[in-house]
Amino acid sequence: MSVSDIVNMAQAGWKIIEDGKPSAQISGSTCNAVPHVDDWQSLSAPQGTNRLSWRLQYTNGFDIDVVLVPLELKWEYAARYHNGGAFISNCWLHVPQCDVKWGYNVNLDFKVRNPTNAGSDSAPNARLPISVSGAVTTPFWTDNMEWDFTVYGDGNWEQG
Amino acid sequence: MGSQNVNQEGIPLRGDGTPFPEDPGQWSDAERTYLQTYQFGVNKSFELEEQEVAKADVPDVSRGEGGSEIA
Repeated sequence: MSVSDIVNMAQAGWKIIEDGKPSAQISGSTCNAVPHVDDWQSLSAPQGTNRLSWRLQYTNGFDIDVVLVPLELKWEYAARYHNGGAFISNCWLHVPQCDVKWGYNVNLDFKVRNPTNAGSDSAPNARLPISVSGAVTTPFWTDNMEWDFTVYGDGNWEQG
Repeated sequence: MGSQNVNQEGIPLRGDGTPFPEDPGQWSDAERTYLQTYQFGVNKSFELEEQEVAKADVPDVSRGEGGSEIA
């Protein structure tokens, strides 16, 4: 165990949208990237919460949004351990709206990969890769999709 | 195509004004083509819309303040 080893002490994944409706798992599900130490819960409060938002939007030939699902990825950045490092005390996905019309079905999952240290041994910076994946299906076609993000304890992020 | 082709719930309507049944087996070939074109022919948007991102420094962890050592 070491402060430079970074682990996820929360959940590794959960359902976001199930059969076109927000999953009951959304509200309480979170992941994190914290030091692998016994007292990781003594992390300081984060400096803030960062947010990335995008939307899954399908507009049909009647000019109707048949699938409209805004997604917001949020993570609390710069939580400190003994006044140092930059850790992610919580990372989660918020779904403010889920509108799926007749003939369409949507399923989306949130998956977390193992966090790592993007900083140094003395100044660890949490790196947390996550992915949002799933499919939109109709009687005629299926669209598989995946968004990959990596969020960092210092507030940075990358897509892909 | 106007909104008269769908009801308030967004369900497409047949020529007689009744909603299409959910079961594709109950659609005629002409109706399948119609639905494939208008109800299930889509424009898609996935782009990242907005970001509120702040950044912080990464200071050294203080030594000797707890039981856990820096590796």
